[in-house]
Amino acid sequence: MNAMMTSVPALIAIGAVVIPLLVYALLGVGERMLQLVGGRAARYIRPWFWLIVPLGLMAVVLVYPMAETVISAFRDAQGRSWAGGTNFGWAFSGEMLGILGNNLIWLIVFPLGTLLLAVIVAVLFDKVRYERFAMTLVVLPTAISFAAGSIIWRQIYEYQPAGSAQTGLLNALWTLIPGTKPLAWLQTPTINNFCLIFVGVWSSLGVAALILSAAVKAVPAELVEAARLDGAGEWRVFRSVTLPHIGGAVLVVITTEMIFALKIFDIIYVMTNGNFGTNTIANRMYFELFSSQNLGRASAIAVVLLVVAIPIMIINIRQFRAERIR
Amino acid sequence: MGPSLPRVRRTPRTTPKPPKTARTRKTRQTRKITAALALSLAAALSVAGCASEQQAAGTGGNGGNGGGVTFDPKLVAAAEAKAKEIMGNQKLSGSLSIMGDNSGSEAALLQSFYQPFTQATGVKVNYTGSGDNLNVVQSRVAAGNPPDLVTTAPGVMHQYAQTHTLLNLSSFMSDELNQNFTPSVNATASIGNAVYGVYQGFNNMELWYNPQTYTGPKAGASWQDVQNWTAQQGKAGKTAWCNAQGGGTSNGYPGELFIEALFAKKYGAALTEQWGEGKLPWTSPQVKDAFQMFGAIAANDSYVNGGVQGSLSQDTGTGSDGLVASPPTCQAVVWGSWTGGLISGSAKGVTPGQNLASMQIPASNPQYATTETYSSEVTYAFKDSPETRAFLQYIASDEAQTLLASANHWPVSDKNVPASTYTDPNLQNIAKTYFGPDIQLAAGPALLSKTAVVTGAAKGVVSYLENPSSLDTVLQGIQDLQDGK
Repeated sequence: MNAMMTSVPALIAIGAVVIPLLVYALLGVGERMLQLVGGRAARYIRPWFWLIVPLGLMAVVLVYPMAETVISAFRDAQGRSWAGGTNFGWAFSGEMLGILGNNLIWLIVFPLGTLLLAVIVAVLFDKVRYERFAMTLVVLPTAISFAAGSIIWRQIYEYQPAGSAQTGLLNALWTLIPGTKPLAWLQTPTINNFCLIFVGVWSSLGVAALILSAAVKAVPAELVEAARLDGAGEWRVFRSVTLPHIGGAVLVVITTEMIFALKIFDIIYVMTNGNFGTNTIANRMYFELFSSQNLGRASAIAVVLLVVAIPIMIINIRQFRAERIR
Repeated sequence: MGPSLPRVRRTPRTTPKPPKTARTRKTRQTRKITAALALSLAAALSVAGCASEQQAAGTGGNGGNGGGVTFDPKLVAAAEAKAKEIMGNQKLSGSLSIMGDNSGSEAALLQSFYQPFTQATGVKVNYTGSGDNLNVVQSRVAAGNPPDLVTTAPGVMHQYAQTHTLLNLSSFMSDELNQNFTPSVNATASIGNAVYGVYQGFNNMELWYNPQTYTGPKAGASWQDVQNWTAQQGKAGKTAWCNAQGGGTSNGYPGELFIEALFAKKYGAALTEQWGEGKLPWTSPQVKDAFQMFGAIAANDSYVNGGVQGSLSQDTGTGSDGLVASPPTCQAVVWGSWTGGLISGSAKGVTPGQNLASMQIPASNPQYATTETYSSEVTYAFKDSPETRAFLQYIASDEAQTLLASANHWPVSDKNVPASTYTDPNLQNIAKTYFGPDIQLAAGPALLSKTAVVTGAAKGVVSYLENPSSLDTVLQGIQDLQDGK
């Protein structure tokens, strides 16, 4: 069984042939049976019958793990006995407070930073002829995984002591300013969190800019024209016409980036591994689950993340729907 | 209500298509350039992806070449013959999955090292190397899908032996193990009285220096001499040490090994082992003393290259290059036997033996001058099959160990591999010194502890260097991990 589950051709065969055949057979047999039943009952049952597969899939890959995680959060490290609220008590005390504080910084600075830059990109690029080329450059980092991007930026932030050749791009440029000393960007508290957030912004800017660019293009041209005829300057046009029209897209970007900020892991893991006061709750969850093998604590963190993310997700989904209706 | 507006009828477009203007031509040109750029970038990303995939899989070489190392064809032929001899009349087939923490060129080197086995037996060896090996293996084990073989520290092997049935090597290859490895080496790879793991490389901790610039105490000196010399250099405005701790996901791990070495040379192998096994708490006065001995050097801005913050920032791959820099930025480094290979690989003008050498770390207690810590990993099997048995016999054979030693990357622990196999004088010296009968090997927490303690201790070293006054809290935190709190 293990050999089959680790064989790529076997998995492709299962995914591409076996599962579709089974689903096809199930639906075929079901339809035949429904035809035999006929009448009102068949009409009532049919939609639920067709939903069996997706609902089953949802139950297996979403509901069951979620329920299991919530239960584990109230059990001990090995999941053998009940631990009450101990794991949640731990999640909101001691060193976890500093970690939650870091997540708060991410939660505020990262979405706002991304949004600000994305708005600038979307609005200004809309006015130039080489918009596609410029947008390609902005979107390009999204083609790079967060882990790979983090390695690139770790090298850019690299620090060598004063007097040594600066192999990190940022310090090489920084030390061109007379009288400056190289900075340990990733090791200096406070600065390092912002340096990490910038990597996140760099990676996410492309998608945010695309969403906002589409919204900017949807602003009615006649409104902009009318505002200009009334004597409004570019800033006034942006503030009074463009911004109110892209409000929905702005909300989508903010909520999406907030969810991203809550579960930020790759950048921290690769660049500092949570050292130097940069740890975040997702990184700590990874440590608790795989290093400490403390299932209870890891699950408690996961539940906290879920609870915090749910309202943001609801706003996000509602906004998406509203945008679609428009 | 006003009058209704007349309906606007859409009329077919009658205006002729506008002629190509300079602007439309320019737009097309821009599109073409953008498309070409996007295609080139996509191609570059694909090529990079393929290359990194190949690197990750460790298929960087064929035949006798891997990781920048060309094996002697005679040694390759001998290893292949040995694999055939091990196979005997058995019919072996399929593939073996191995996970370890050597990636990049080191993974390619290992894959080449396994190649003679594949040639002889037809069994494909799929090696996956990752810097985060412990956690990756842990996730596979937790999912009930462990790889066939794993390379980790012996402590992690002990951890898995409690929950899984590992392959007992003494049950079928005890003769080879006893003939090829010293009892102390086999003891560190044992659980109870049976050997479960085979070492591929074997790295001790040494004091590395540049003979042309080093002014510090030589072999036979005490650690106090080293500390006095360090202080003298500091007063003269020279940083005596390079102490790079920034290893990405394993930040602080070099310091953890440094502290263990100091501990072993003050308190001996027995107490070091007790510490590793969790019998001596991290909050004990001895462990605290070892941290403070380390801190007396590493937490002092005047003693380490770049100051404390500099040492925490420097990458471990290049952080020891200051020994051979011109002018040198430090004179001494405490790290493993791989240090020579790292410096030679990243710095220019390195001539092992002339401007780069190593010696045993001076002891605080003369009684433990020959007590040596090491940082090595054993390969062991979750799966018992003729293929895994043959593979483990192959890597434990003199022929395979000689082949690996000839790569000049790591020393090997096979006592029958002559020191002359290495062309690097430093590795020759290490092989002669550390595998001799006088040496008492000491296994500490880095080797014997569970994953949480090893990673927690590395983080603890970073926290201690950032704030030396937090030592008690740091040690208590590591002890909590040991206790599973």
